[in-house]
Amino acid sequence: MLVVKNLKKNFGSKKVLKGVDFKAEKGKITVLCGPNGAGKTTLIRIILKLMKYDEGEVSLSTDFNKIGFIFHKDILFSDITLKENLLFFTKVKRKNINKEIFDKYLNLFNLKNDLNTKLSKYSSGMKRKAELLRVILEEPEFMILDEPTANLDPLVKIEIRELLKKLNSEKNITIFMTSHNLDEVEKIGDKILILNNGKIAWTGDKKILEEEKLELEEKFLEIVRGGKNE
Amino acid sequence: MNRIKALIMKDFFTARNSVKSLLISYTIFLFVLFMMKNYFQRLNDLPDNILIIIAIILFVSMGLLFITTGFMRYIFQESAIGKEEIYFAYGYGVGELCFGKALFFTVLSLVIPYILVLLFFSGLLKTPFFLFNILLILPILFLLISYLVIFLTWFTKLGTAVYFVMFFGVFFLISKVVKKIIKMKLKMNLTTIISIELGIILILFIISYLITKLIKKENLIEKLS
Ligand SMILES: Nc1ncnc2c1ncn2[C@@H]1O[C@H](COP(=O)(O)OP(=O)(O)OP(=O)(O)O)[C@@H](O)[C@H]1O
Ligand SMILES: [Mg+2]
Repeated sequence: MLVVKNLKKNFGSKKVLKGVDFKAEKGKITVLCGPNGAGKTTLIRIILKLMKYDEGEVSLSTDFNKIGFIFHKDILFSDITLKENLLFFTKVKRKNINKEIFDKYLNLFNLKNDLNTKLSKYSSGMKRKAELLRVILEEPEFMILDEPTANLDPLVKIEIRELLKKLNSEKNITIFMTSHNLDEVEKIGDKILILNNGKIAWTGDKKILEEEKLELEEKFLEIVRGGKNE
Repeated sequence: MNRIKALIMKDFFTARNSVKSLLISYTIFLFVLFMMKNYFQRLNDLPDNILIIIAIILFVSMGLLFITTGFMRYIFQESAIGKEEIYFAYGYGVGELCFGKALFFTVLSLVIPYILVLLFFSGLLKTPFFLFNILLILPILFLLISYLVIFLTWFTKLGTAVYFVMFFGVFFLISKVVKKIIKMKLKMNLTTIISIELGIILILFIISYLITKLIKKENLIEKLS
């Protein structure tokens, strides 16, 4: 489980996170959304210990080796092939590539013919799929994903959404992710967080939205526009 | 250890994928050896063959560093894109990262040049002191220098210019000193030379250790991002 308490982070005089509080429960999919520059990527980098923070608490009960992540930017090396990349990343995690999983997702992502192509020759959507393949092969217990569906076409977006849901329900993988695709957020998130103005401005789920008879988009606009007027 | 092995494997893939530039480097090195052969025959007339050996070691290391220069370009690429964050996210420490890279460069830069050098100057095989130097002292020295250079270029963002100044400056100085020694026909016994070599290695090691200890990963990320 991931618990973030009163997290604050400034870049110089710029206050990006002003006291963020939330929990991402085990076995659930928690989705974080928010406008550009809200601090989603910053938050994820702090959780992954890639950045220091000024105040607050971050506790992650999963062993670091069991965490799989996708960054805002692609991290696979562009001067080697997909296969070489996967060999490296699984080896660092002390894993052997699981042949069954490998074949299955290679087919699903339609990357079979490009397995021996350098990543520099990939399109941005292909790179994103390759990133997902990397994470899946690491067989993590907890996935931290910064915009996993960025740059993907609508069809693949839906496929990945279903895939994440399936990984969550079948393998009980906990997921904490960010997304700009509100439709996707609504469909996938067990718990939805909206980060705005350096704080979690709203926490909810499908049920709450239904009760309020609101689409997530409306809620989002209400919060973000409201926040701007503050 | 596992992480360093993985890193070396990854760099091996990169090298394999850029075999063309590797071949060019080795060819140039071969060319340098051709030209040096003449020079060494003249040096052979000198009485103190230890000096010749020192000279050869220096020239060889110069050639090796020249080869490495090609690979440093690759470090620049990785540092320019900010790849350190990936390594850090996968648990690498700064020292581990630089050491893994340096180790790979050392192996890649030494093995084939060794074979070439020994082909050209096979007589050297009969000199234990030469073997000691080229098989032990030179690799360690080379590893430490690579480590320092990788560290400086990557984590202090000193940039290409400084890197070249440092590399070639150091070797310009060393070759000057060697020339002087040869001129003065300075008499030095083996023990003195080996002590000097070990001293240099110790100093380099301490410097490497200290700067790695002083710079913390978290601060680096903050600074680089
Ligand atoms: N290393 C840094 N130094 C200074 N400012 C930074 C740094 N990283 C992020 N910022 C600032 O912090 C704010 C939040 O950035 P962040 O990348 O976390 O936003 P985000 O929510 O991920 O946005 P997006 O939706 O565009 O991905 C931005 O205003 C950005 O300029
Ligand atoms: Mg972002």
